[in-house]
Amino acid sequence: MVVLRRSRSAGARALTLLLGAAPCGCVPDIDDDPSLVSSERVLAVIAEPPEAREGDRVALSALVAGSRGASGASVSYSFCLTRKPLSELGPVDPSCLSGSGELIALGQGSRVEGMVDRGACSLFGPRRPSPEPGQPAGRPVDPDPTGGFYQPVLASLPEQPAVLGGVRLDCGLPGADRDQVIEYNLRHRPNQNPAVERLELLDAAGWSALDPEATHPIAAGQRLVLRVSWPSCADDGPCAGAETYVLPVPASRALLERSEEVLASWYASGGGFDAPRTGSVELTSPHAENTWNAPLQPGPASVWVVLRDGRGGVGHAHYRFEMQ
Amino acid sequence: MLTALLSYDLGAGLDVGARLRVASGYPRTPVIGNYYDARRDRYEPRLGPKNGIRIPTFWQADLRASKRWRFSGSELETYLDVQNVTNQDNAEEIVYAPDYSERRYIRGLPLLPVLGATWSF
Repeated sequence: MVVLRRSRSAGARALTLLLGAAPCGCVPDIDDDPSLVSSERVLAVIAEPPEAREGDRVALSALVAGSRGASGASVSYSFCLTRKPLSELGPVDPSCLSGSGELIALGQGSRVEGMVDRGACSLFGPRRPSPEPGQPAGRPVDPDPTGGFYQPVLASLPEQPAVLGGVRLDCGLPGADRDQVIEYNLRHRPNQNPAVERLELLDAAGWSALDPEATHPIAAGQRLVLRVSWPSCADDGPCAGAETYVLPVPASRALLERSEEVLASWYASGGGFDAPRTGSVELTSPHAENTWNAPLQPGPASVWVVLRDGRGGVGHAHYRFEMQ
Repeated sequence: MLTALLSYDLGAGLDVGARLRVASGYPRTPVIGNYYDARRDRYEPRLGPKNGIRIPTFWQADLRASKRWRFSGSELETYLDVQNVTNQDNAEEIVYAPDYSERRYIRGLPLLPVLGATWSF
């Protein structure tokens, strides 16, 4: 390092020369690829339907990925019924993660069912919670950017930390007047889970769809451009793509129409993706692209694609490859 | 934080000095675990007691030697400034892996010699 400085101060002139050794970087480099599935883990928790009212029954399942193939049969599910303190920054009360919170066990298996608690909209939604003895009533929970509230779901593989999922709560419009409630009920469409329509591979002939039931031979170390597509949605009605929904704005008491954002998360048992998740900017042809650098070693590999919409809906697909 | 300075004029325009700094680390809230938020596709930390740990104690010793020469109407000062002469591997902040599975430190500067000259005229 060389620094030359000329200054004029207090009637004196000075010329300074500095020679030094430039220090090397001091920030640690932590390797972490969230797309790499090196051991069995839960990638997604799926609720069907993804949006429910208090007292509704929902089915829960999990996408479990592993390097040698895995199933969701050993996943245990529970609803967390402990309200998160407003001072808690995380998405769920920590006591539910440590097992000391109020948990409703829903069982173990590839698919379980449970009933959304009848007080869920007070615990996690827009209704004021019941006051504790000797204390004033608490304030409602703040919605997420889509106006949503969620019943926390915990899904656990044996000997692993719980994974957090959620069921979006349909709590209506507490505190709104009659006309607003009528308009909301007319325009509100409960969320649907997105679905992978197809995964395509770009080759010399263009895009070709991959069969999710087949194993696809590819060259070890090959760079594959992949494109996942989901259905295009009309303006109205349920759809397994980016739906439109109404967003209540409490300040102006207006209902705004919004369109969901769908993001694709990419996972693989080997190699690496250019980006862990990609999104679509084209609503008329909804898809997301990514590039997968296939593993260098010959043998089997899996790719999982998980679609997440902005309102808590989840869809997924699994594809198999054979490195040659 | 404690800072000690020592400077000595050896005569003939030659000065030597040393500086020793010791500081206890800032308190930080430890991450005691992690969990995956599958709805948002990101990992979240499980936090321990608030301000339950401290960044390790910082200490650093610096040395400086300078020599002045006077010419007609001007002065030239040359110096050698060596920061962190013991090459102490000080931790300055905690960083976590994106999934909070690993904790490391941002480190301070290693031994840094600086040779300089100032010509005043």
